Amino acid sequence: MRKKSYILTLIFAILGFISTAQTAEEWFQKGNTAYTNAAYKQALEAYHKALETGEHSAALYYNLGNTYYRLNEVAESIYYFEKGLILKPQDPDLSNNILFAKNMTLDAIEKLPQTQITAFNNKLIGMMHTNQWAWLTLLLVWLFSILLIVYLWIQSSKSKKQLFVSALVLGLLGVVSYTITSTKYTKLHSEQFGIVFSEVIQVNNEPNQRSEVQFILHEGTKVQIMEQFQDWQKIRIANGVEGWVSGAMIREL
Amino acid sequence: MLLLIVATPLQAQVSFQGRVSKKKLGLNERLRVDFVMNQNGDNFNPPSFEGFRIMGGPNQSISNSYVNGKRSFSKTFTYFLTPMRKGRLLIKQATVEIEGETYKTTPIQVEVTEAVAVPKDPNSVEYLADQNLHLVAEVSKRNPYLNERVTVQYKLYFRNPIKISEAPREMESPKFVDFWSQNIKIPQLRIEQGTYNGEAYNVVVWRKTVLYPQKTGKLILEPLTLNVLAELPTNRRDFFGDRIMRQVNRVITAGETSVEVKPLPESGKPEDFTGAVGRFDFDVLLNKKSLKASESFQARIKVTGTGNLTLFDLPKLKVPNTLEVYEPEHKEDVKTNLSGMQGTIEDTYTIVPQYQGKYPITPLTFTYFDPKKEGYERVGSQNFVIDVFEGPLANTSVAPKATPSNVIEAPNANFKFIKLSSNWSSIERETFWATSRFYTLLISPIVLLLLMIPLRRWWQTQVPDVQSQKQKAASRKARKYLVTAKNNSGNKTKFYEALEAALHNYLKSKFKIETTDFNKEKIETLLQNKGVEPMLSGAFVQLLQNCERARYAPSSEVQIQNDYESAVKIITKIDRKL
Repeated sequence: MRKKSYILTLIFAILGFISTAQTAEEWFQKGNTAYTNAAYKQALEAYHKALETGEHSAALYYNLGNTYYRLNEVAESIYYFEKGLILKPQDPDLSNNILFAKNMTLDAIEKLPQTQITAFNNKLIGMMHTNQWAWLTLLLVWLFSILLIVYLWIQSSKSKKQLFVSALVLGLLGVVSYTITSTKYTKLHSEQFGIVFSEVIQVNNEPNQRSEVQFILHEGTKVQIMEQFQDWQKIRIANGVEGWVSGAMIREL
Repeated sequence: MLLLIVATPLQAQVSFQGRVSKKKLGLNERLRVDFVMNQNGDNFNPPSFEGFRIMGGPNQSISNSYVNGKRSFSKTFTYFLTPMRKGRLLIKQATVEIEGETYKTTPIQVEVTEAVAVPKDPNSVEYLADQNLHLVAEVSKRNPYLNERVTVQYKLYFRNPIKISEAPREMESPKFVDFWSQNIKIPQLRIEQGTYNGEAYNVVVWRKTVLYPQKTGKLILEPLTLNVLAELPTNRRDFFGDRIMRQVNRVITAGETSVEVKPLPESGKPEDFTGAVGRFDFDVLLNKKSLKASESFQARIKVTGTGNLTLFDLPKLKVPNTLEVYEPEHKEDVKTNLSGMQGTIEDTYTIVPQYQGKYPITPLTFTYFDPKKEGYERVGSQNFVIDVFEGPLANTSVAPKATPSNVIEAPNANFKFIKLSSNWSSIERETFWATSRFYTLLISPIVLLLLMIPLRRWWQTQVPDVQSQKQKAASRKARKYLVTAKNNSGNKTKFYEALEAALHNYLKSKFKIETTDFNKEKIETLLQNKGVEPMLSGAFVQLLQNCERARYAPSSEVQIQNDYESAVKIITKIDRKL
């Protein structure tokens, strides 16, 4: 009797292992099939299972955002689109569909105007992932060093000159790439954004209930989380206005 | 006999009643008791009238009248009594036999109080009017909630012997401060039967008002004053013995009353409560659910029911700000009757979407207080999603007119389909940047480079090739000769010999020319063939000539020093060129 139950649990354990051992890609494909068949709830389940495997991708977040959009869940939809944009800031589909999702929110916040330089900077920074930028920096520094070493060993004075100039150019590019990566990294790690999940939140002037209510935010709005004071959070919205909120559900990106 | 048979069904209802002129009287007042039967009876047996003294009676009167062929008959025995003691006295039953049956009156209780100062003459006009004409304000609820419906009915009670033939005139209309009030029109005054303090009266409802208290606390309802033209019998009688009626103007007032208005309970009061009290249904209706951009649709927010309909605000429509919403049109269809305001109020919003996409209409909730259940109720509307197809796609920022740059006009902008392939990476992946691995990889090539520089130097000394060895030997030789020349700088002849030998040795090692076939022209052309500038080669030859000349001509210390230095210069220069 005991033996039997042992065997049974063993079988179940193996079955369970097999079922959980599906890869992210398999879940992803399952989710895609469900989405195509308009079974959005199932699609969600599958996509979340894919996330649970510990792997992610911009495509997965994009599909999650789309599914939530189909289910009219604004905040969730925007949350996953934004997550996707962190991984792949330049993706045209992501930036297109997030507009649809943002259309559903109650708040329309006019963005602060960007100068051309900041726009260019943002574009440059957004071109690649931090790690990709890091690898590029490494590549440039390595090339610079190799070229200089070759320069040291080579005899011909003519190619020596060319080598030296190109090494200098590569070194300069390496410095630029390093600066970009470091700004991107500090930006990513110092600026914490979040999506408002509460239906309505009041934004106060000061972190206490006595202070005046400045404005009201609704579900789905992206805010920057500035600092924390007791149970109050200081937030900043896209138009640069800051305020304090308490007890609001803001899910960090 | 035949008459009797015909008469019997008509006289089916036999009544025998005892009536008193008043139920409450002073010890020194008189009381009149009537025993009335509607058919002739025999053996009338009055009660004993314990506690009373019979002052007059029995007076018997019979009235017999035919109206439209119907006979009505009444026979009355009247007694006039004075009470002998205070307290509750009982007039017991009187009996009579009508057609062989014995009928009894119900006992009547009369309260006798202290003697009154002036015994009221029961026949005086004032007394009769006071006793038999009353104006009463009937309040449906004395203790309502704020905004709960209260009705006030002003009723005019009167009874025999007062008759009212003309409609009364209102002298002072009540004002309802702190109330929302509405009069309900009474198309025609009607006399109805009613009771006042347990006695039968004629009633006329003079005025009906629906009130919604707007303030809490004790609120006063101002009195209503009526001028009533009443007809009263007088003591005089006319020729036929009937009493002469007299018209009397009486001013009567329904005394000031008040209601105590309770505030709505604070516990469980919803935040979005706007003051609706009653029973309501709530709905949000849309006339379209999918449309093209720049078409319009309408949303109606509708509250139906009974309660203070016109006294609260409807919940506001909440839509995404990217929709253009116009001011709502407010419509009220409310009727007021005794049960309060009834009907529908609605706000109609016209909405024009500018851009394509899905727009959720946030479900609205409407809360009201139900005074019957003494609790707050919440009704919600459905969740709607407006699907706008065809049209430009908007950026999130609004105000498209002011800043058109915010609007991305994309001709084929559609909601894109999901992605079907994915590049996976670990969520937990550390950023490679700023890790020690990154820094190692970043610094190692530079360190390698820095290491390479001394290595290269060392290599140059360690692994020489044949050619460079020869050259090195030559220059070493040249320097050696120059060194001997320098050492002999004190001795003119020896210095120039050593210098010349050094130059020759240098050429020999450089160009492999033997010293024997040396002449100036050959050296110059040779140097120039090797790519040495003519100036330098000229200087070299000049130096050689100097050496020859100096053997025979006197030269100073300064000259020697100059020649040595120019030799070093020229040799290094030529060496560099080759």
